[in-house]
Formats: sequence, C-alpha cells, structure tokens
Amino acid sequence: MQVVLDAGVAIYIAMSVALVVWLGVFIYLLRIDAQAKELKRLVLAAHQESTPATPRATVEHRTPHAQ
Amino acid sequence: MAERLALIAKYTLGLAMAGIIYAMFLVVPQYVGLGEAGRIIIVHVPTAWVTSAAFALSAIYSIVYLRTRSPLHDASAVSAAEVGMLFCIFATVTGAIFAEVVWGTFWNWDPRETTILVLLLIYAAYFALRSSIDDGARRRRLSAVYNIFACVTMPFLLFVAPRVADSTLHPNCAFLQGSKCEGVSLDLNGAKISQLGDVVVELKAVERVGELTRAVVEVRMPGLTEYADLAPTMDSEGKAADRPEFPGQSFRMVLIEADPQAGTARVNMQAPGTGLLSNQRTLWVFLASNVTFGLLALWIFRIRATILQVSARLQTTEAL
Repeated sequence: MQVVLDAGVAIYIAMSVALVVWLGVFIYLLRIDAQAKELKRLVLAAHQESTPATPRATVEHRTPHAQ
Repeated sequence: MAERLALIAKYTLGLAMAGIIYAMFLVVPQYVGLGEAGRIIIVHVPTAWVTSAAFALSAIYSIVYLRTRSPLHDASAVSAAEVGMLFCIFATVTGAIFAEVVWGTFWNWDPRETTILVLLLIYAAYFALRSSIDDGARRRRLSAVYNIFACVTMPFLLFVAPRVADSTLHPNCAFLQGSKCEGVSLDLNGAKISQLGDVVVELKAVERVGELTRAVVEVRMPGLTEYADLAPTMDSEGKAADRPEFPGQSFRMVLIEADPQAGTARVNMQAPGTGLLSNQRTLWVFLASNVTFGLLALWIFRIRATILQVSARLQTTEAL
C-alpha cells in the first residue's frame, strides 16, 4: 500500500485508473452508438413497410371527335 | 464508405482522449504552488467550455423547433441540454476537487461555484418541466421557450457574474478584487504607495539577492487589521520565483517587473493557478483537450439525439 501512495508511483496509478475508466466509457459509447443506429434503421424500415400505398390515378384527356 | 470513415473517426477520438489523459499526467509539468492539482485544468476548463456550447446548441434547436414544430428538433434540443448538464456536473466536480486541494475545502460558495450551481439548477428545472407535462405538443412548446430563456442566463452566469463579483479565488488575475492583469507599478523615488483592490501596498526596497531580484513590499490589509512585509522575487529571465501569500488570504503577491537601479517594481496579486497556461506544454495539451472534449460531446449528443428521435418517430406513428 505504501508503494502505491509513493509520489513517483501514484501518478502512474492515477493515470492507469483514468485510462481504464476512459476505455470502459469508450467501449460503452461504441456499443450504444451501434445499437442506436441499428434501432433507427429498423424503425425507418418498419415505418416504410407500414405506410399504405398511395392510390394513384392517371388522368388522360381525350377528345372524342379528334382524329 | 461514410460508415467506415465515421468508425475511423470514433477510434481516432478514443486514441486522442487516451493521449490527453497520458499528457495530463506525464507531459504537463507541475505548477508552483499547486503541485499535481494544476493538471486538472486539462479536464476542468474544456468541460466548462463544452457545457456552454451544448446549452447554446440546445437553445438553437429549441428556436428551430418553435419555427418548424418538428418533434425531431425537440429531441435534438433535449439531447444537447443533457450533454450540457453532464459536462456541467463534470466541470463542477473537477472544480470542487481542485478547490479541496488548493483552497482546503470542496465548496466555499466562491462566486464561480455559486453561479455554476445556479446554472445546474436552471437546467435541472428544464428537465423537471419536461417531465411534469403529459401532453407531448405542450411539453415541447413550453420547454423550448424555457430553454431559450435558460440559455440567455448562461453567458451571464458563466462569464459575467464571476468577473463582476467583489472577489474570487478562481484562478485568473482579472478575477481578484482590484487586481489588474498588468499589476501596479511602484517607484521608490516617486509613487511608492498604491492599492491592489482594498489592500494598500508600499514599496520598501528593490534589491538583487544572488540570481534573484527581490522587492520588499509592505501590505496593509483592509481596515488596517494586519501589516506584513512581503518579499516576492523574480529570476534573471524575469520569471516570478517566490510568491508570498497575503496575510490571512489564499492569494499571493507576484513580482512582474523590477529594476533595482531605478528603484521601481511592478507587483500584482494572483490566485493559486493564475498563469497556468503560460507553459507551452500545458497550453498545447490544453488546446488539444478542448478539441477532444468538444468532439466527445458531439458524439454523445448524436447518440442521444438518435435514440430520442427514434422514440419521437415511434410516438408519432402510434398517434396516427
């Protein structure tokens, strides 16, 4: 314990702890980012599938006596 | 292709942040009077900057929401406010740790501490307001208006109020009552008495002591309660060496310029940590840290905004 609290060693310990915490946060962010993107893709795909087809009509002007 | 670039950018950000952590502990030097505690500036100040940027972004999205009434813009406004809140808490906690090391207490209601707490409460009220209204459209509209008003208070609380306060220990020469970034000039053969705020200073001597130049300055504290002779020194390169503390105070006297032949000296008061960025290594790590924390905040904002936007889309679909 005394070695850990030594001024020369303590700064390396503090840096290691900070790096491990950042590694954990970084991995968490990467995972949640990928999951959020996947969720967005699924929702958009489902939204497109559930959207009912818009009825379409073509209006054609005909003049019966034209020839 | 775009996805691959985004992934590379994320890994680069991860490495950059790891580099900042490494530099914070092993590249940034110790600071006189602060020891290891001075390193916290690499995290504390960028998080405070990111806080103000995130709250400003949130207000912009709220304005856009009020124009377009799109729930997606409201989701972005909430995401930015959440990121701002997260980084504001981070800045407050790192500041409190710094205060404990340097001032001897985690919280002493310094103007800077008080204003950031008020800002935290204002944005806590924003989230409370959102959670208290059930009707979606009304919630979005009212919280957008509140958010704009909250953002208006932010520059005042972060930048103006701590500077107009009578006195603060927060490191910055301009923050201490009466202190000036350029200090006060004293002359043994002329104006040898002056004032630094409400402290009277009188130059008694300017002399060479080996490699150092020393000024002997008598200080009379407010109400003439205490007198003391302080002897700040500077080395041959003009860098301040000894910075004696004012009697009963946590701030110090620093010698900026001295000419023993002419009998002149320029002194100022400094809070612990003032001038931290005058070191080049500290400055470059600090600048890199600002960029890295800004990008990190942007990434967190995008993730949160995506989740909230998906949620908004689902709610819209259900309502139909």
